[in-house]
Amino acid sequence: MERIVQVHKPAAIGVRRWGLLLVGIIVAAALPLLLNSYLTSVLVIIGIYCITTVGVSLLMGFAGLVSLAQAAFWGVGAYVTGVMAVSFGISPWLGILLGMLISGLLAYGLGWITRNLNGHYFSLATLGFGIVLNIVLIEESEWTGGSSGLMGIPGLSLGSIPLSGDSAWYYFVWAIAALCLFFCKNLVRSGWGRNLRSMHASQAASESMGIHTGEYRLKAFVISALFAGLSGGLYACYMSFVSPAVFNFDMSIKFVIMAVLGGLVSIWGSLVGVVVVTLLVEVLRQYVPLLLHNSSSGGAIEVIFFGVLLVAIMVYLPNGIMGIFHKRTSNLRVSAK
Amino acid sequence: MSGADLIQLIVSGLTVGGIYALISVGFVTIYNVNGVINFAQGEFVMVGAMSAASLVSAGCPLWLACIISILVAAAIGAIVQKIALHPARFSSEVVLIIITIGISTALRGIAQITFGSNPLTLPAFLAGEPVRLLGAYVPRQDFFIVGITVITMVLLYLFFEKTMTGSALRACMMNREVSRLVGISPNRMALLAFGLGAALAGIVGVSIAPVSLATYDMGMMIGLKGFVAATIGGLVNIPGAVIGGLLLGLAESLGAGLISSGYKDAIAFLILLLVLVFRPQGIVGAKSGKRV
Amino acid sequence: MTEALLEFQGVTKNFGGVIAVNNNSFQVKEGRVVALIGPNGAGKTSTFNCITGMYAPDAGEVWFHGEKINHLKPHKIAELGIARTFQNLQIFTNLSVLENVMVAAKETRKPNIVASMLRLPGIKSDEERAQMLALEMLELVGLTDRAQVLANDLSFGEQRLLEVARALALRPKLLLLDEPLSGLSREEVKGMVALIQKLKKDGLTIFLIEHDLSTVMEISDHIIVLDFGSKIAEGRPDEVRSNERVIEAYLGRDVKKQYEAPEGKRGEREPILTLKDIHTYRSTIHALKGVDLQIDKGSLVAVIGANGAGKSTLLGTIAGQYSPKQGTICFDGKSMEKVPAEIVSRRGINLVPERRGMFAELTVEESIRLGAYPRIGSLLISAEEKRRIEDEMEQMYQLFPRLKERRKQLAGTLSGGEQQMLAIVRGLMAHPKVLLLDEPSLGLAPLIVEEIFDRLYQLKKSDMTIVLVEQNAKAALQIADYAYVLENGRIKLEGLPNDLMQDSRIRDAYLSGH
Repeated sequence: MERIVQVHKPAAIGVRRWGLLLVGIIVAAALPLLLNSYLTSVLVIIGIYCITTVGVSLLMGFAGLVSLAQAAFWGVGAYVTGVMAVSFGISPWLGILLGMLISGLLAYGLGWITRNLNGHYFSLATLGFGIVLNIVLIEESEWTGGSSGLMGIPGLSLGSIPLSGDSAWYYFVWAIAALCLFFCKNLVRSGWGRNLRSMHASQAASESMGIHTGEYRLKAFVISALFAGLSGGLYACYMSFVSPAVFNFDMSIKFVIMAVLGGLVSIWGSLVGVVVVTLLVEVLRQYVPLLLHNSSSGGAIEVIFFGVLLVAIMVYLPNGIMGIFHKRTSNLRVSAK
Repeated sequence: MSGADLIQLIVSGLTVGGIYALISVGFVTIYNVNGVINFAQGEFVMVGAMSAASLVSAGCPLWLACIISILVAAAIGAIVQKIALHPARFSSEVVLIIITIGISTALRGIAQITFGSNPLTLPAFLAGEPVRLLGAYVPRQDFFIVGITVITMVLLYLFFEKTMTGSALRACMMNREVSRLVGISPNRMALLAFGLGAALAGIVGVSIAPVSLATYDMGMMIGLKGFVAATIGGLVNIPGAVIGGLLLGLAESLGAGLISSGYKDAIAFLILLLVLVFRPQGIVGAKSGKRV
Repeated sequence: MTEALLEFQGVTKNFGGVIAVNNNSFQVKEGRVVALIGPNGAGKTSTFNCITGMYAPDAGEVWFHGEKINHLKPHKIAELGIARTFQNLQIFTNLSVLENVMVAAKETRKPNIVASMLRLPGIKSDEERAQMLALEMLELVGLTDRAQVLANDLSFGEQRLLEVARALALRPKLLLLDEPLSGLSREEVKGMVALIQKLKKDGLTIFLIEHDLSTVMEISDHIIVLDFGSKIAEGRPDEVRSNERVIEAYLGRDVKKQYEAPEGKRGEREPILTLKDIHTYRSTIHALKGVDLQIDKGSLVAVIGANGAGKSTLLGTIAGQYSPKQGTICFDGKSMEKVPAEIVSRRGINLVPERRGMFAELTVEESIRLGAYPRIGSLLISAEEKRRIEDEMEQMYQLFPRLKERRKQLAGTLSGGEQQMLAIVRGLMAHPKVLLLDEPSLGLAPLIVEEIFDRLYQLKKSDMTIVLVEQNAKAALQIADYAYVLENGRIKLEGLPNDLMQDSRIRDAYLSGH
């Protein structure tokens, strides 16, 4: 071969990007010092959500599957960590790992059953799974505390130093979130990610080139469940209290919205989406009661808002916020049949 | 278990089965014409139930409230199809699924605001003591439910088999491209199918409201069960949808007799998993398998 | 004596009554270029799909390199060394040209996920090796300087080459090419042919489907001919070319009955449907390249031509299924290019589609009744109109008595000939001003073809305007008043049927393709 072609190396990050990244890190690191405790805790929650949403973004944007069970896997992670610690005295670190493992196994089972079926069946199976899990959490109140929830989940400690205070949690959670973003970004850019994207363009051709599409979908699902399980475990330790009301269908939808609004074209979309949605929730919480003179319907307004928002995004801006910046399309628009 | 108990379970199973059948028919129609699983189907049931309940408590006569509620459900279905699904009709599966999820969420929120968070009740249409039938006690409302179900099925049958529009809708479900060649407008059929599906759900809502309390979040569970029923039937045609509904109702009723009531709702999900593992194309089973 | 690399043994595949592959057996010997040819609907792509695992045969076995493969899934078969391209192009539009080819590389087929997340050196070197392989393949087909371009942005010809490069990256032992020349310019065809010949020289076994028969004759060692799902001939190119059955399959057979020569010259009747400079695209393929057509009222106009000539696209454009990019369609004084199919049918142009277009679960009766749908103005029909429709249905039964016997039967269970009759009747119920028929003789036994063509002649005699697209040129010309020959999206010849039948160019047009 005479010519050496300059090939795009996926890992290359230009100087400008490095600069932006550095600025971003400095700002992020300074935030807890500048903001009050409440806002810092909001940022911690954003970080925890982000971990789940990255998995959702991978699953929906690249594997093309809509899972309505992410909050359920989140719940599995949270409850396993909580129950292990409270009922069996197992260290929360181990509990978190166990939670991840069980989430992954459940996802594997569910994914395996639906592996040859089209996306509609998959989504509905995940919906069913989420509902059943909620039932289990409520029914098995001996372990889980039932509808009132599980209290007294111990926090995490690094060695003998307990992780306490919102600032400490902030740095800890965001370090993990950054790692998750980093790993997912690498995965999407790698050969594995390329194969996944090829499936999205043409499943038939992908299979004909040797790609076992069913296996790729299954693995993407399991990865998303692992992330959700991790996120749940961290949530449990941070809040030291979990209840079934948090891990319901509405939460699964919130995760979907975060991923979609941020933009499924890029893994960064998950970060953008979580931030924007959390901001929107806060704004709604503050101002809607003023408009309506009735604070009790606040929750309902939020629900309506997000339902309409979801539809509007899908119809008018299917590639989300990141889609405005990113040139690569994510094949959400298919030409006329 | 005594014979009377068994009959009791079968009767209530068939009653509930009829309900599931109606929702399932709506699902299958919408799926075959619009190409989307309507996640909001359960919400239309809720709209029917809640509208009827609040109209009645506002003083409206029962029969009028029912009719209005069904029309409201159908109208909302038509509107939703026009503004949310029609613009996105060329979009991928992922987008369509998400849109119906968004619709379902929005409807739930709107219901919560319009009707409040507290459960509403609807007086039973046939008041009085349960009737003794072959040794089992059957609540009077159940007769009403079965009656409505049967009447609706008959009307559906007449519509699909004996009218041109019904035949056109069936043709559109079977072969969209060719139906255009026979002058059938796919857009009109998509609107009709969705409105019809929503109307069926509304009928279900109105008939079950007296039996189970009407709450703004009742839609999800019943919608899911309707989908399970449709899957058992095979998602290809209407007779399959009906069979699926009846079977699910029976299975749930007989199963609940054996398991603790808290897990009753999980039976449907278990059946779904079993069907997906062993016979994903359902009982009727598509020959081409393209649905699955 | 070369070994059989691929062996088909008694393979059958049917789809709900339609037999796509009918108990076929053949061999593809190693190192050869074998072509699979046959008229439309012969079962060629279905055969490919049985080889690559997209279809599981209902009967029979497929052997590759001594291994039975008919129960394996597509990705497994690819791993064993069978690669394919697609007739309708299935490139990964969201990836670059280079990435498209890399997907097929073995080095990156099953990368370790954790290692990918951590960007371990092992993954990096796998990527580099895959890239080297991909560049090599792109070099082979001549796309090296397009490596970074998004695949969607390539020209059509380049996309065809990309599919070949991608398939080659599998390092296959057997390469299946599904219509690799279709839609290519003359230059591009030369390039593709040179590539195929080079690959053959390098020892690759190639199995290809093609309509361009002159090229096929040039480059193949062995040809297999299919018709209606069955193998009707095979052998060396010169053997096949002069085989009676093959010629008949392509050109058709005489209909026994003699029909009168068409009365009146062109221009004596007024045109009811006119097409001017119609250009239609089917996805990226330029299917119709400036077609002019004039259909006179009350006449039967035949449009004949080889496969891939654009006949179905032509009818589909008239019927409103495809919107032409350029050109005008004038019907009854109104312009119709932008009118969607459902409205076109209501205005009086009704298409009887290729392969019948049945509503499988409607009965014969219901299907016929539904045929009147385009006539109905509103949702409710008056009792009088209902009665009129029922009367007309009785008349239809007289046209094809066989349907009357089967009136309660589901349309999907009828035989091919009965379905065709049903489709025609359904079209007639709309009271069309122009009836379009797309290959009505496809897959039908000669006796049935005779019956159907006889009815069409009767209809023409009763002043119905008919446009008949047919592969069976001889039968079509016998009942036509005027005929057009379509080749590669253009009208090559037109004239009175008698004149055309004498013209040797028709035979060439059919059997040469370019």
